[in-house]
Amino acid sequence: MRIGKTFLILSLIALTGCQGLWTRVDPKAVAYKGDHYVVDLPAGWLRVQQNKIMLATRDGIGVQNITFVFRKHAKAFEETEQKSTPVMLPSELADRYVADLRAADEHGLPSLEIISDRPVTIDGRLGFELHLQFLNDDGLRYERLASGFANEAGFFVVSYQAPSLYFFERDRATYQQVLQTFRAI
Amino acid sequence: MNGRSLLRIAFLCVGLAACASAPVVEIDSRADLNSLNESQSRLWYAADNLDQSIDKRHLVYDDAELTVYVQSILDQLYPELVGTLHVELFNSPHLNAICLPNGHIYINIGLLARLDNEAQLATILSHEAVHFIRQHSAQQRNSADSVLLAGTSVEILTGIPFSGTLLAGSVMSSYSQAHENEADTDGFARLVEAGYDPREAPKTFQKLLQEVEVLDIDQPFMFASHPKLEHRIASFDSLVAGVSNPGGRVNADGFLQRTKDLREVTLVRYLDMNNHKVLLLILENPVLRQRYSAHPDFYLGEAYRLRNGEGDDTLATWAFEQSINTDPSYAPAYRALGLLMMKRGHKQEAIENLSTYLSLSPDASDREYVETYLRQLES
Repeated sequence: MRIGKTFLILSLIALTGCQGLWTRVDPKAVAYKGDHYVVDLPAGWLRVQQNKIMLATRDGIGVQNITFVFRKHAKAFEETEQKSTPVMLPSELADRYVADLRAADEHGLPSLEIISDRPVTIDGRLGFELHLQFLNDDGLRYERLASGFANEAGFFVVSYQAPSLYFFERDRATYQQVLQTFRAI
Repeated sequence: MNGRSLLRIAFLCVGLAACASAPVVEIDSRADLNSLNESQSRLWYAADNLDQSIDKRHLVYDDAELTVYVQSILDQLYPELVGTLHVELFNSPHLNAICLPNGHIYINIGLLARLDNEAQLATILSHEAVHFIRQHSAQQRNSADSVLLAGTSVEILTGIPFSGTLLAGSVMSSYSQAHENEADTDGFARLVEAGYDPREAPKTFQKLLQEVEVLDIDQPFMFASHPKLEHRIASFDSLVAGVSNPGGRVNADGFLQRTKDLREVTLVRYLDMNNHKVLLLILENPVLRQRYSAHPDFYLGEAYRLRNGEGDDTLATWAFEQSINTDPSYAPAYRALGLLMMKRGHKQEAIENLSTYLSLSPDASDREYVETYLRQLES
């Protein structure tokens, strides 16, 4: 079975609870520095940072999570072993991001559907915004918004994921607010 | 703990020991289903749960006509188990097939799409069915416990995508060399009995071995282990040598016609996964290529683009142009060629091709991207 490294890290966080690693976002200091970026997280949410992935959730990662990933160009798409480049077209980055998600699943994630795929500006750069949906192992429908772009340093992607039923729409606006504060450094 | 509790535990232990030592019942007819031992019943229950999980994730490929066809092959091979052995098309592009302890065989659409004929399909099905008939899962030492452990792992990961649904299935269908040999031998006998050409049996596995080597597959699923595959081919070769006047049904044309749409579907799946290795393996082979009627040049061009090696840009351009020459109304080829020209700095060709793409496909899902690129090119 093939399981992506990102998935393994998220699983580890979920399974162990990562005792001591979780911190609550202080309303007086919401700005956090990640790997090659800074971002303001929602006050009161829980935050964890491990292996260059930062994740924030209010009620648990299975309920909703906002994830921040930075990868060097050479290792941008680990499952498909494809690279990114600073001049790669945003539609091409989006295609590779989706292909990587499919390849991370043992069966190519046949339930994955692309609801929308459009160009957006993130931190002043042309990037992509994908709206995806898929079923998890229990048949629960999840939706994901993923916004990504590439610069000289590497490939960035910020994603928000939650079950379609009730939860996805509930925190969607929060994700959009967080995305507005995202700055590559 | 009181005396009554101790007594209950003692009875339970005796009961479990009795169950553990009960012989495994082989399934030669439907009547045998009433005599399964405790371990078999537990495995059957676990397999039923797995079926439900597969169903929940919509992992069964929905093609009723093709499923009926594949089921009819299975029923011809094992007429005494009609209604007990069931086959489903599993919506995965990889080369694999598994048989669960409840008699449900899942054959991946990726495997089905790559076979040459009905006799090769019958080889796979007859092999898998023997695992059920001989109840190899129940005979495997610790198999039941492994399934429970796998089930627990899946349970722990509930709610997180991409945990891999068939963990338990992999455990259930991981057999010893002795069981694989038995499945080969008994399955081969059925193949011959049903009138299929036995010479297709080793070809099935030779084909798989070739693909496993080219693709450098290292996953531990059934068909991907080199020693097992090489051993299996040798085993089949000796079985064929033992058949006097080998010959029989192959039914290549009927099979290829029935699986035509499936091949196109898997091509899309390989491209969606950016799997240029499989695309090239199929489309650079003239024999295989002719089985893919719809725009093979477009997919070949995409494979070159994704491989991105020296000279692949030129090859991709040639392939996209070929695709347009063959079918001037096929919009994706213009898009692909336009983007390639854009990256090369050939603005005019890029504008022409991307504009043609949008005129041929006015409702394209990526219209916003293409319009953005056109604005950049025209500025």
